[in-house]
Amino acid sequence: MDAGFTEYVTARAAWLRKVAYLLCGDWHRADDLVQSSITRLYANWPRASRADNLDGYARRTLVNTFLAEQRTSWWRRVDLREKDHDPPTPGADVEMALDLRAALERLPVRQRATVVLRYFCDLPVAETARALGCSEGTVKSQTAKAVDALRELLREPIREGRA
Amino acid sequence: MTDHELATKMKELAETPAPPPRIDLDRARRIGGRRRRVRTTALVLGCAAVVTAGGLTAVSAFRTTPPLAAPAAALPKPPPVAPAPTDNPLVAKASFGWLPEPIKGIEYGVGGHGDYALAIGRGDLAPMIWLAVYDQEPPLDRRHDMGGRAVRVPVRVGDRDGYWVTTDAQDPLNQGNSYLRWPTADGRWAELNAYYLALPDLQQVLLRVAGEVTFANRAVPLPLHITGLPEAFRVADVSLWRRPDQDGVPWRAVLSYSSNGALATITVTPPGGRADGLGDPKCTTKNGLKACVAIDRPTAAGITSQELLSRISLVGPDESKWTTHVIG
Repeated sequence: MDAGFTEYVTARAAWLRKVAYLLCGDWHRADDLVQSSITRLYANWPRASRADNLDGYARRTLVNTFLAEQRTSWWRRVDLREKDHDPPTPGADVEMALDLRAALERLPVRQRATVVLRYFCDLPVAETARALGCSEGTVKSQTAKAVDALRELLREPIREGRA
Repeated sequence: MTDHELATKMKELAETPAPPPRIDLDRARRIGGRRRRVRTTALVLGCAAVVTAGGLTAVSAFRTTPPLAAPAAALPKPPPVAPAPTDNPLVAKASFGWLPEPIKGIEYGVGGHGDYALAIGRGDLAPMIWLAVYDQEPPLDRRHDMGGRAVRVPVRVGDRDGYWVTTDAQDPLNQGNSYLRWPTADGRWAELNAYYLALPDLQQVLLRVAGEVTFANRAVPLPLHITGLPEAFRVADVSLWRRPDQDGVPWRAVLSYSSNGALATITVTPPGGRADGLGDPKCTTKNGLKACVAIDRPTAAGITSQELLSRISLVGPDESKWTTHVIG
């Protein structure tokens, strides 16, 4: 059992960390989120390992951990960051990406989780609704609000469709 | 920017330079394994009690006050129920009655991330019993994290027809992550979610906890009074925590308000507690309590942390003297 867990987390930790970073906007806090999530994953491993879609199970666990910790203001009371662990200074090539990070941070947490699942994880509306425990209509409205807010914050229109 | 470009930029953001990861697999195994063992213990204790009780178990589920092996928690009685005032941002929709001994305190929270009362014990894996009230019956697997097909197992909760939510109909306690739901007299739905609670006869314990829940809006007494809270302030989250093992202080009251895109956070603790929130906190200690205010964008909020702090009066550490009239 441990071997399966170790193999899975070793292979997918980097991906989980990226999802967590987009959710919370801070690499150190992302590590804490992933740590909490894989602890929950291990506690439920007999069940999780039988899931049809283990990535989906792990992603739901991560998003639920993020939302639950927001609910209990966890991130404000268990901030493990230290002053000497500030993020690396960005170069000019990542400034645009960091603008997006700042914009994401201004979104309400459920809207942020919605756009991360929709645009980073490439999940369809139905799967996003399952991950967030809400209706498909809610996903659509949250996505629309989030995109509107990002457009405003980035001062750049986000159009429907492909480039 | 198209939505495709937005997706591309999110992927670029996720590839920005990052510090080395601090993810600890061994720690996850160690703590996760302990959680699993606690759940298994709860399951074994529950099964043992069912086997011992034999056919009496089904009958006992219909008793309003079943016999219990678990002693009661020694908690102060909540104040009498009264109409919720509008000058308190922390109003509980429901209150616990009887609770088992491992429970050491009751927390409350309201705001954008849900309203709840939480009966909590002590330690790294503190026993928790979450109580929430929903206007409508929630989906069975409302958080979509039960890991299997959730089913109802009917049970009487006091004089009402309720049910357990579990992925195994033979195990109503759902391996120790237990959900019990029942309809309230006014047509809403109540839910208990309990975990890390290893007690004999756990089903009966939770049924008794549920049977003694009362439903009425009740202002939760808090240790502060605020005069002249800016009108634009809207409640984001308010909570009363009791986590001495984490915080180093027996309790912590946190009031977070949003205003014009800013977040203002007021924290009250006994001396030694840490300030919550974003921004540079300003703190004071009066009447044996410490209060801190942090505002991430004072210009947007229209008030500085120091100004808001000056409008706060602290009631003192004696909880019997805390006030339900917090604002005004």
